Amino acid sequence: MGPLDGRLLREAPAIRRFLVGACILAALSAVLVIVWAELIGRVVARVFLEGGDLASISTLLGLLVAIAALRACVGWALETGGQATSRQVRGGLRRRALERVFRARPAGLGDLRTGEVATSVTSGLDALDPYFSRFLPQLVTAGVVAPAILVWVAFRDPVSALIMALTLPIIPVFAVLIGRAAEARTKRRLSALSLMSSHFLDVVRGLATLRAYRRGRAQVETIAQTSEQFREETMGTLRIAFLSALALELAATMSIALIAAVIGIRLVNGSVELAPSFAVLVLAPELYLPLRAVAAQFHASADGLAAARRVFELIDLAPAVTTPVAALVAPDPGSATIRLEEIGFAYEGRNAAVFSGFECEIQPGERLLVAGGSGVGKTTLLSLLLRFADPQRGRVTVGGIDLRDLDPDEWRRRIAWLPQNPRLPAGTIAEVLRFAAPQASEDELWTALEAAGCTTLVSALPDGLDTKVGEGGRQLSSGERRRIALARALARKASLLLLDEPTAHLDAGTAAQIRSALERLERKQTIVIASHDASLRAVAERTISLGEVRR
Amino acid sequence: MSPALRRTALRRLLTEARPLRRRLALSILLGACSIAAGVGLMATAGYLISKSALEPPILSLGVAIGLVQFFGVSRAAFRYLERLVSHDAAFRFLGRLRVAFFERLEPLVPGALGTARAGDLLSRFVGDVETMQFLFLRALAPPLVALVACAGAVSAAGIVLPAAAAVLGAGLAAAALIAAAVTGRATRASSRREAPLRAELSSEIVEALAAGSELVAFGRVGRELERIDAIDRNLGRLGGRHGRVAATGDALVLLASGVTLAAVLAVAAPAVAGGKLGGVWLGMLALLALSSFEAVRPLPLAAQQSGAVASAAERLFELTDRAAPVSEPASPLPIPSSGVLRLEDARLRYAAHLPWILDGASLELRPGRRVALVGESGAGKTTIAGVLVRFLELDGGRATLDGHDLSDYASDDVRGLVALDDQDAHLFSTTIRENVRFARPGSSDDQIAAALRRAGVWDWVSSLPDGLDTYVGETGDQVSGGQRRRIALARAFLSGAPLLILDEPTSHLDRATAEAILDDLLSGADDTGLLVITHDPLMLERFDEVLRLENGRIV
Repeated sequence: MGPLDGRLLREAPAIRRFLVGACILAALSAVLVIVWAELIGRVVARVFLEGGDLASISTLLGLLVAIAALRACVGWALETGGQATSRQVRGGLRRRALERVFRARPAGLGDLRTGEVATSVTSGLDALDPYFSRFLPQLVTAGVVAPAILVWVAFRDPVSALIMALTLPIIPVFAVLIGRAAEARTKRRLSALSLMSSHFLDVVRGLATLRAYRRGRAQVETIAQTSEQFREETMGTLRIAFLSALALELAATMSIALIAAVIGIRLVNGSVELAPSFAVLVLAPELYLPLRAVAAQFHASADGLAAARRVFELIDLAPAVTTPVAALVAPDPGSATIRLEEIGFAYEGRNAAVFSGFECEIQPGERLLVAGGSGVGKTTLLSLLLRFADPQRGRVTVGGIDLRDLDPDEWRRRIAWLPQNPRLPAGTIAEVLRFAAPQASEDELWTALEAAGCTTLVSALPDGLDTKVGEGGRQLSSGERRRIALARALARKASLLLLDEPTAHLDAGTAAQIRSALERLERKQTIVIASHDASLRAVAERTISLGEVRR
Repeated sequence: MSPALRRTALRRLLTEARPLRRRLALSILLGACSIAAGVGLMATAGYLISKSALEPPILSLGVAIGLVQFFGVSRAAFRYLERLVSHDAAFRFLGRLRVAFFERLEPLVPGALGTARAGDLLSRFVGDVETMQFLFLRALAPPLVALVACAGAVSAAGIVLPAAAAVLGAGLAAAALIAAAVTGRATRASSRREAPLRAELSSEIVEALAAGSELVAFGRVGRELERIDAIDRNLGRLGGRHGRVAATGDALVLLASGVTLAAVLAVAAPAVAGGKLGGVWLGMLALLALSSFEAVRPLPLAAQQSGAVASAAERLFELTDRAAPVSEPASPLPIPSSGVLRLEDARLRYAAHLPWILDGASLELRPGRRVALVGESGAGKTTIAGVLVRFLELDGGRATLDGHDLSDYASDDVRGLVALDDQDAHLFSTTIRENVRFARPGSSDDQIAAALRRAGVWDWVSSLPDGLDTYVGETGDQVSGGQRRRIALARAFLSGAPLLILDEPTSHLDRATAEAILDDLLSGADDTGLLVITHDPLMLERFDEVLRLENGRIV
């Protein structure tokens, strides 16, 4: 893996801008450090060899301070530029990843786990911060400053330049060679470390269980023992892993020592002068410093890139349904017939087909109950209507138009849906309802609440529509939640209403309330109810049993 | 967090580090030697070429050349040793902290955690403890190393020219103070003001992901992403401000090194001109001053790390300083081999401002009697279980064992008499055997198999190629929810406790399996007392008693 990720560069133009800026700043800082070294050489030579007093060097010293100030500014600009780029790139990647996750898994995250995705796009992406604010600036600095110093030294003192040119490649070469050898061991060490951490995590997470069986105290000894054992193993591998740093360090210090000795000998011969030689000596550590900094940041940057790759995996997920380039206008299901024709559908990665050759017709304004036991495909049928998925064979049409020719978002505007386990966002009752119907007036909200049989419930709340519910507000029981979610679906005034198990897991009284609310609904929309609850047959005009018909 | 609290947290941590102080001192000494060798390398190199410029006989340079080489090698060698010693000390320290914090945490779980997000709390606890390894390496060592190394560099300069040493000392001190003050401020501000926004961002994202299909169905994805972006923008504004402050700290340190160098030269030049200082020493002083700033360079990062470590320490102490949820009696009553557990008018709430969870609940559990406790989720069923096994203490009413207050018994003794199979029982990342056996250490495979059979999972276990040796994965993620549930249930059976409390024993199970397990439980002729907590109305008619919990009372 290279230190510059091609995908990252392609996908985030902000990085390219930053790299260009960083190169300019690095070139500036190369010039500054060279001038800085030359100034020091001049000052030392003038006072020491030419007998100059304070007045004779005051201009040079003033310049020295000015250069130091400029170097500080350049460093500041590089660091803050890296931070800003990091924020921009992380924000952009997060947005794209989340957007794609919603489009790729509209029916629920499935194989992706909520916590894992959330971590990837938050603290995972934060791992990119050291990459941008430290590693990249230093990489660019090393790439620009080191050659610049080398060229300048070659011009001032070719012999020192030769020593530098010979030792400089040793650093990356050694870094790679020893790094590779140490990598396997380091990996083992890291896995040992993470094993240790996960053992501790395991014990702490299970502490309540351990205590229930009186085994909590006994873990103290185990934790102490495993910690000690892992320390011994880890130190064994670190002894070797640190050798690479030792080699880098030695290459840098020994070449400085060599340059100093060789300069000294040639000064005695009179073949070089003090001022440029002193400048070369000041420049020598500046040559190795950025390289060592890059090496020190390498692991942090690798972590960051690994995090970025995980986010790219999310961005690369295939959308669940395609959006046509030229979408047709969605017919109104309130007046157009919906047909499921020869539907074949299986979930990805599963062999058993949910539908094969399934046929069904839904007339405008009809109230259809889709019955059947769990797992027969009731929810899948609603998913196909919602276009959370498209059938692999056959087609779903509305007014004769294939749903695949419609913009999915446009089509969903015509649908209101009561999911099996509605999740209400935390907020006021009005906010919860406007989640589905952003434009609804207060009167319209009350109408929807009335239709869902929630008038008494909401009127009794201290602040009526403005009462906060959910996290940080009034907790709703599962029956109340279901009824509010029904009101939410009704407030949308959509011409196709999809209800998934509206009465499941409710006590008999609440289920009856929901049923009577459904019975009282005005006949304005097509309603499809998926439920195993036989009592809902009273609400429907027609029932199809999925277990019985050919699926 | 206030600076005072932060300091207290760090001080308490350092108390734990006391037994390691020799190792810490050695590592600091080695670190300082390494920096001193680096300074020595540049200083002698400066002297060497200055001396050479006077064109002395080449042999007279021998000592200087030798010194330069020596410092070159020793710089790297000291650094290597320092890394080994400091990492070793850091791991030892981490081991001690794991034990120390675990010992504090142990009596608090689960009673003092509250109900919400206990899992998150424990994961964060572990993360925070692991963060402590950086206290040593990145927060504590760099300033001490810098102090020792700078003292050495200033003393060396003092031998050559005391005035230059004074200037250098002032410059280094100023740089160190700037680094600590500016970076420390930025870090504190960021942890205080960014952390809540970060938490908000992350909970907004988790919430959005959980409600993903509704966002898609109701066309709210764009708006939700806007909301997330808005939080991110606020976070970015704050982060940018703090980042710029931190970068200013770095820049000021760099500026300080330049100004100090100029000042040292300005002090040394008249001394050379006035004949008080040999000219050959000028170059040495210049490079010594320049390279000694290497000691100060890690300080901004150290200030940042010490902020992070202190926040983590503060969170740890906040958790471990919580009051123990149950008090242990000074002289506990001897525990009977069996007995009657009774709740009388029990009242309990998690905090004074929160509603009562139990509000006058009464029930009785005795050997041989099978009781079902039903009620909506959140009605307090699990809280009752917590009281009966002495994870929680009542705020009102009584919990008694054979007529004596439950709090007169040692809580571990009570848990030997009453086994609780929690509905969130944890599976450890080890084999099935070990996951069951710890409920009764020393049990034979036959006893474990019998317990698994009662839990309805032995047929499956014995069909596995590795049988009892099958690894269940991290938190049991390589077995299904139903199998996980039943392995946990087997623990309760193996424990041999005369009273069992099973919290939702049939969740994640299909009907047939659930019925088989309940049937076995309820038809057994033994004298075990049973309290089954459930929201599933399955086979309720076969219990001796069915209690319904509503609004914290049995109705």
